[in-house]
Amino acid sequence: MFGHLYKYRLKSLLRMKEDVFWCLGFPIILCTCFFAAFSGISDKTNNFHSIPVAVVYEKENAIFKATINAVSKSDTQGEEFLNVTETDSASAKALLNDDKVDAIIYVDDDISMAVAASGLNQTAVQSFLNEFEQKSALISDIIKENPDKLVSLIGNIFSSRTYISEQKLTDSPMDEMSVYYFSLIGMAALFGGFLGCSVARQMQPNITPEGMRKSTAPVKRHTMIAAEFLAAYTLQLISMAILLFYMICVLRINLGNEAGYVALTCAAGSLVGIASGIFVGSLPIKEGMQIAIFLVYSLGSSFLSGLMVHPIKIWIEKSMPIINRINPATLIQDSLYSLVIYNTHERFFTNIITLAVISVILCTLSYLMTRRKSYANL
Amino acid sequence: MSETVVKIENLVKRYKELIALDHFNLEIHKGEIFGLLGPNGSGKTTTINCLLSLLKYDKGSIEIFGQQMNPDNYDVKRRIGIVMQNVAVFEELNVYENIDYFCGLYIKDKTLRRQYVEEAIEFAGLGEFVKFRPKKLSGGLLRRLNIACGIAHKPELIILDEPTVAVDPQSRNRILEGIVELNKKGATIIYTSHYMEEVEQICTRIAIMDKGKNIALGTSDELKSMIRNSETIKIHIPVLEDSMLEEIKKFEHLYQAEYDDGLLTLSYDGGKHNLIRILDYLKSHDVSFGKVTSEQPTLNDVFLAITGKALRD
Repeated sequence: MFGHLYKYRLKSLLRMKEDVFWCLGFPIILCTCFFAAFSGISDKTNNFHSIPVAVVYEKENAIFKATINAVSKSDTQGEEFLNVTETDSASAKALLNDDKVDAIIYVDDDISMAVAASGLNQTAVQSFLNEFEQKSALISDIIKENPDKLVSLIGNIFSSRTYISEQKLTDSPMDEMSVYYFSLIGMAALFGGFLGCSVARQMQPNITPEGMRKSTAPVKRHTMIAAEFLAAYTLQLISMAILLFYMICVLRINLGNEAGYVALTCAAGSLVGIASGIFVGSLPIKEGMQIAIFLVYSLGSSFLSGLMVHPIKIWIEKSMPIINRINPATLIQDSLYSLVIYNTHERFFTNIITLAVISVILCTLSYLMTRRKSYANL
Repeated sequence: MSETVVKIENLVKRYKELIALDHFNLEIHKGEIFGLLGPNGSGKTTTINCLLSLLKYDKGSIEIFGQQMNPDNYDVKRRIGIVMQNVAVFEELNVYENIDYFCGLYIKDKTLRRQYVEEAIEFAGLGEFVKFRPKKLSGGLLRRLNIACGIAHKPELIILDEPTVAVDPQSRNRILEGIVELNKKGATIIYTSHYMEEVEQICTRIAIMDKGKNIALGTSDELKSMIRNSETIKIHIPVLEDSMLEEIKKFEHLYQAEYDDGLLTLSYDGGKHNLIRILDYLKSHDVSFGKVTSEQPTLNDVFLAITGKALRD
């Protein structure tokens, strides 16, 4: 009997287009949108490319030439700061007009710059020139006033000191945009509740005719509930596996190096999602109202986990930390986050245990509501 | 007397102030097609839901196949088939899968189940539509699928709760013929409807319900015999003198005669050849007349006589 119920429940859930869209289609679409948006940011911030500039020497300046050679591509392998083309004024203007270079540096008594448009690259070149001028002026002053101290001061001039030291908690490479993907996984896990909602609705005689017909059959209530819950959970796990495959293998998103723990997080998160859905689906209210309640719950939980605005989670942590301790989407996101950030699993397992406790509470409440066999009203 | 399949005693069901079933009693015997007739809100569906233990009741007892009915009485549930008022099938499963799913809740053996499902498909005339999803079926076919899902496991007691609501006449006839066929194969049927013609057509015994009470019980003829009227004759007569109307009122078995707006209405409480007698009278007195109708009493007349209102009020 269990197999019969499980098989048909799985089959019918697979054909529920709306539910499958919310569980699988929507997270994949959202993930693709995130990927497209974050790739642009990463390109600009992380994937730096050499800035093409034209240099016009109106007057020889050996110091500048040596400096610019040091930061230009021609000297070393890999991406360097500037890609320099030495040329005359007319050719330099032509290169600028044709967008072949981002700026022209004129070297005369002074060093000046011409650009066709403003932008990140132009600002970087300007900063470089400003620093060169400051430091060359400083050296000139030292030579004029204290030539004997030049050797001892020159090291200080060219060294930049930082007063903050980086303390690594993990060996894993961490992309700061990953937290959004972790929140998205949290949301996808909770969206499994749409399946739970449908399952619960179609089990109850006071809500659907199918539930009524099932209730007249000689099938033990707990067998039916278990089979249908497991079918929904199976489908949700499949959806999560497809989403993870898409994120890791297609979009190449870094979710850390601990695949087993990531899978455990998704399994625990999906359990909470299905249990939440079954709980909402068990409420004796109309279908539209159930869906509205579940959407508000799942999207609200995801919002508080930082899916739309990451700092909200930090703000909650400062003002109402209890919400972060019990919000399912935050717990899922934080579990994945802690896997990447920390080398220990203490925080991870705390989150997983909390998710398990929430699931047990929701499942118990749902069971108490759906196990009824006779009703006062139908 | 044949075996009692269903026995309901003093059943009371209240919804706050409203009394849905008021000390309702019923006994249904094996092999019957038992009709529960009554207007909407009379308590038919409440009775069915109590019978199936879906609904808690305040007082009384229900026995099916000699056993007290309760939600955990799987032995009794296994012998019952239910066809709901609302179509209860899964939109995501096709015709075959729907029947197989519900049949599988009763029949574990796969080979036997396959045979039963195929028989149910043939019975409901759904052979051409086995791969169709419910959305693709017409209203009549959908009702037939609903019935197939309820009877595929070959239950001994079949409860049909208004199975022909919103069904075209052709499908309705097919459904009614099917119910009679199921009965011939040995199933006891409980059939609820507010369509008196259907109940009259197929039911061997009928209970008329109103306000949660069983107000009349018997065969169609027994119920009709409960009222005085046995025949109503209506004749369109342009002109009828008062003296003639007085003479007509003296006819044997005639208990009421009215002439209004060119229509003579005569109500009889018995007798034979009443129509011939009145037509002979009119001819012999050179009274010209138009359309003539003779109506036998219906269950609606019975309901009207007992409650003072029509079944479909």
